[in-house]
Amino acid sequence: MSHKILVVDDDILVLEALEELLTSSGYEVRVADRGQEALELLDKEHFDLLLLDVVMPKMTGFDVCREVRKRDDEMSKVKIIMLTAKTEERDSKIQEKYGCDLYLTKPIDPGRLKELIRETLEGSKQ
Amino acid sequence: MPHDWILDSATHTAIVVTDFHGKILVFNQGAANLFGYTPEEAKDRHLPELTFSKEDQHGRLFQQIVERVRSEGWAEERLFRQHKTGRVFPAISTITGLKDSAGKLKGILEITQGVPNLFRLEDELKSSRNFLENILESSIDAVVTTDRKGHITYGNRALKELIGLRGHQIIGKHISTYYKDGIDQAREIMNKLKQFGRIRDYEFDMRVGDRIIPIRTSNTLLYDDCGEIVGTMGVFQDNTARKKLSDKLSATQAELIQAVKMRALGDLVTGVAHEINNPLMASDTFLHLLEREIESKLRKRVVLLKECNRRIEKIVKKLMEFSRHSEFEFTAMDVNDAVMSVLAITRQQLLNQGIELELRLCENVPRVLGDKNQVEQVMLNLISNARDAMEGSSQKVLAIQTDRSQKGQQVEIEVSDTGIGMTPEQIEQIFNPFFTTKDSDKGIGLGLSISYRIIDAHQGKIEVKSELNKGTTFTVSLPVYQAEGERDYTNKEPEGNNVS
Repeated sequence: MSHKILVVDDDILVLEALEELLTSSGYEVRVADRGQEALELLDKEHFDLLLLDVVMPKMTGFDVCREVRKRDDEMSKVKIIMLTAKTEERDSKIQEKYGCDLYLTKPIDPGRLKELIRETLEGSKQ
Repeated sequence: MPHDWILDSATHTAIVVTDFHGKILVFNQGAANLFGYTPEEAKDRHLPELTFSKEDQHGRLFQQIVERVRSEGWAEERLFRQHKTGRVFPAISTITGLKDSAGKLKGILEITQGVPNLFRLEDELKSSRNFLENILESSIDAVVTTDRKGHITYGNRALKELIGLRGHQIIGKHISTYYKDGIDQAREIMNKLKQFGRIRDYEFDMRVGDRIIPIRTSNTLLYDDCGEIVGTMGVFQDNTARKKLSDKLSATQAELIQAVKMRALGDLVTGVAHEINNPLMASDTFLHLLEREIESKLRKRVVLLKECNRRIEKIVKKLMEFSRHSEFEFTAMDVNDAVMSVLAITRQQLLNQGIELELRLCENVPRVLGDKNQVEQVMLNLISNARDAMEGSSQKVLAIQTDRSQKGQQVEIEVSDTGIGMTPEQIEQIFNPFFTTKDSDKGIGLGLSISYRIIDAHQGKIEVKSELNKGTTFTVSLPVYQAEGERDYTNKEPEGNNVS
């Protein structure tokens, strides 16, 4: 069974691009353009990985990440890769602070992104 | 005597007639009131003995007066006179000759008025004049008056000191002699005075010998009692110190404006950079997908499009660097080390381009509080700029010098080239983001803006001097690390000179 990924980004172009990229790589992909929408989807469906944009209106990617880690079901342990167009804070600190698995900056080479997603998902199997 | 009643009616004016020896012939009521003797008492007495002050009673003074009346026809005297009681008082007398019907001199006529306050008034006038003159003379500011044509009529001590001509005769000289712009300047001041009646805080230059003294002056017109202009009065202040201060203030202000401008631009740039990254990411991803799906003939175009994206990414990265706010890691660092590590990566490239390197690194330069990577970034920018500027030069010398500033509070790093130089207009814009004098493949005009930001964050300064077709010098000043007081520099290894 293929892995299921939830892509969250308020930029529709990014959302479409990532959906196509990951679908073409054989993943099952769902998308959400708001943080709140993402949390609602997590209530209903199982996901193996969250690809989370940071800067979003109302609820940021950090907020979503925190909410997910607070959950008391198995979804709290979902792999989370954060993607940001901001580069102000240092990633090591952010990973620690919000409990995400990876913190990447846009733009990232799509090939490299696929690789990192694969590695992260493989890590979850171990 | 006939008409005695007329004489006696002059009760406030003493009228006395004597013969040439001073024997009193007429002594009117006014004289009686003034000197205290009745006309009867005075009659036939000797006038000097009766009414002159002690030292003049022997008659010599009287004889001198008589002589003058004989020769000139009249005399005027301001004398101390004596009252019957012995009281002495000042008086003014007019003495004329008394002639008979044949025109022959027969005696003298003295008309006298007591002026008890005259001498006191004169004294008061004198002391008040002295007082005013003292004020003018002790004024720190130079005070000068001229006549209508501009000739100096008065100059106080401060003026003489300002002009530096002790004892030199300035009265009568034309004021424009001391103006740098000469008569034109004098005319301008006079025209303003005629227009406004006075001038406040007007600035101009004085010339005294070879010296030019900046002056701040306030002037007014001088009028006589009838309201006619008789001249001008000016107060001159040596403006040297104030001018220095104001120049410094302007420079600081300009720096401040530049710093604020850079920060505002930084904020703007951060926003723009963030906005670009999202569509760039989407574009990259679509191209990635496209590349795999299309025939090989078109694939080359996709590769070119991807290259475009890489270029955009590079610009955005530079922009982010430029707008970076708080990522500095300050430690005590040696600027010589920063210079040397940048040279380690650039030296070969410089050599290949035929650039001669002149290194003058101060052996015991104090450490500064800085972010080593950032300072190196600045050095790299300055060296790359110098290299590019010398591309077409016949003589290519890159000089790098480090030193402690004159006051010792700063460390200065100087990077000079013998390149194409810049115009003043270019220099003005040199730290603005995206301003570049290079071809588009050499840079996007952010290196110096970034350098400026970095040095600004170090509380340092970056300055540029340049001359077209001669070269450019950048000077970076960084504050000395405060705990640096007692450091022993003697173990420092000397750096080589003239490495090329």
